[in-house]
Amino acid sequence: MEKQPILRVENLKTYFYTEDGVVKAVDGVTFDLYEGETLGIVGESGSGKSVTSLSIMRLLDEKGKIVDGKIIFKGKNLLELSEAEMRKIRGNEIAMIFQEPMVALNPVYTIGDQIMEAIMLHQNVGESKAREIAIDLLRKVGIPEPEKRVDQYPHQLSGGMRQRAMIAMALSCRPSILIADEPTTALDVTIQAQILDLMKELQKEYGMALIMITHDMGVIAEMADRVVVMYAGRVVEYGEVHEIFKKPRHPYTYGLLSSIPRLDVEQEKLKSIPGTVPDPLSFPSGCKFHPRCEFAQERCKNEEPELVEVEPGHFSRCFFWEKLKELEVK
Amino acid sequence: MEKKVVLKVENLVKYFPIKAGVFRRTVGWVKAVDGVSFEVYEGETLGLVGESGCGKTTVGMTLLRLYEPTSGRIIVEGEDTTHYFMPYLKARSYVKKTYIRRFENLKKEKGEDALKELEEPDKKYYKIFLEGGKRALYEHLLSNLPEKRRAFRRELQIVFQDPYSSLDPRMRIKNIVAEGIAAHKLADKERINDAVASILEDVGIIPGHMFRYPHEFSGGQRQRIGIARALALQPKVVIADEAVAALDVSIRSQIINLMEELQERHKLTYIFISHDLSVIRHVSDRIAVMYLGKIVELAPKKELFENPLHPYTVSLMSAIPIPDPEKRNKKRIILKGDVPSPINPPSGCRFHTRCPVAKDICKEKEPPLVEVKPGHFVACHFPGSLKWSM
Repeated sequence: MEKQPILRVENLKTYFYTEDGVVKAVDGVTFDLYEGETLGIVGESGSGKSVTSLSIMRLLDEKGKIVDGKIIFKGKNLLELSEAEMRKIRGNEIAMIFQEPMVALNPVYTIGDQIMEAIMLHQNVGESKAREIAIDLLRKVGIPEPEKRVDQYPHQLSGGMRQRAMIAMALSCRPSILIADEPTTALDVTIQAQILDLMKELQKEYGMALIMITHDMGVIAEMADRVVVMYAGRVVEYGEVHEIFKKPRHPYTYGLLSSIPRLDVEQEKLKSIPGTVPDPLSFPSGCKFHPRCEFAQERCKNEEPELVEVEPGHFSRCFFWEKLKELEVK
Repeated sequence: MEKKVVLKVENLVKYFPIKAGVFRRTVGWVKAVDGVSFEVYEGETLGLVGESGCGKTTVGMTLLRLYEPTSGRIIVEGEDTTHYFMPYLKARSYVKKTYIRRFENLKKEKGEDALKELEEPDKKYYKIFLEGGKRALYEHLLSNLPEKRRAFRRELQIVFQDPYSSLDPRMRIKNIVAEGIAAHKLADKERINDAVASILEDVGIIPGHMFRYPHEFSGGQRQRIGIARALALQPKVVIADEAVAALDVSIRSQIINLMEELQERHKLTYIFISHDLSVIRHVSDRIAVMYLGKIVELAPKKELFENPLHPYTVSLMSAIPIPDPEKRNKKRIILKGDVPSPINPPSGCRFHTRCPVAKDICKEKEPPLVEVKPGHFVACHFPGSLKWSM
């Protein structure tokens, strides 16, 4: 069955016009998101993964401009909507949670006030009804004593509890897409396990699609159905999660996977990717990864490869992806 | 072969006062580290792992004497160093309390026989005491303290987490690295540049860049400079406090590999502090797991991963997402609730509030850290009762 994507990002280009020059944070990103699935976006700092999500929400600051591309949500191009129309979608149909719940929550309002605000804005219910919904949501996300917590301020909650409150807020309008930007990076591992578990459960219950943005390959392997690997503002590899982990077809993904210390296996020496993440003000010519790539050849310096379908549903932006095939056999 | 102990920590305690009110009275204590003991062998890497608030960083800072310990002993290369940074009279009373009084009683009761039951460094000190009386022991422990402090500062070095805030932005990296060399007179003035160049080369920084400022380097390179600064003093022990936590994945493995190479080349001893059990597994020879100011389990790496005994260790292992989608449906142990506050830690076993296998006794009695197998210590009333396999 051919599924229709609920969200389609097409050739998205988001540039930041800074005093030092133009930062091409996102440069031609394309992917689909299907109903109910989890799409993982993985990349290192400066890869453009967060800017991609902020572009979808149209939450960029004044320096950032979406210069090209389409973001099609349920048949509408979000980039053509007026701010008022966008406000009806943002938080209502597409919700987002952030890395640092302490920064994302308003410190001078109670948790309850902040959840109720969204409910009253989008659902046309009164204050007492909204409060009831808020308490229900807090209970649902596993906050003990929700009747008491609803009147507390963010600083009175622990990091894990705050992230739960953020999730409650994001879910208040039953969004069809939830974007989670590094939702567990600031949390301890035992709390991270709780939050990931909760997100999986709620996703099943609400049937929403989830975009999970992270730098942690472990979280991706745990959560995602399909994966977008970003490097220097571009999608370098894109495909089903098992394919990406078992048969990476881009040297960057391959390098990334072999450079993480593993808890489940003993490794002699870690492989590492030489060099550093490129400066976004001056990305290298040709393939953006070529200065760090062990397979790079003359061609990679001058010419940028296209994203090609190497297997059904599995895309790679590399001229020499077939070489990785041989590597795997070894 | 007997391994040489470079660093020994005994019952280390560090409490921070909580002050409140107009008069800043102490109204309580944050019990950051509450009775931690371990040994570090020459040339090994000891991993200290735990979640935020478990006291792992405080242990590191107290070892370096950037915090003064509340109590406990820190023994470096067979010498008690605990009193090195105390004011003189306090140091003297520490020596009196810890050694002189005890030795006087010992002498009365057992005389020379007591030597057999004493461990180092007590044995050595007792010998001095027997031979020269208390004056000789005072002399041994309290003479030349400034000199001893200098040596101590050189022997223990640290690499910090954040390579951005741990390098002075107004200093050229040459000066950052050379500062310690000059202070400890490890090279002649004319040869300092050569010394810096060779250290920078050692950590993978082009020596020609030594006149640049920190902002001209990337995060990974800055961490290399931080490592160079520590190595410049030819330390015995390097404490790496979350040294790779702030780095991108592809850079992290470069730094881990570098630190391993340097360890081999310079016969370094590492104490590697991290919240990330995967990194700890990779770098460590032995691992100590901390929870709320205590070590709950300590074992050689292989043993710890094959046979984890403390329920917290097991839960920690199971909580970490494995970068392999095939393993995603593994059942994991999800701990309830948050880490309790170290101000009022739970009674009995500190983990009992979150422990899936806790029984009544865990609320009442605190389990001591006992050696259940050679080299494998665990503090639990029911070790091994929580089962989980990777």
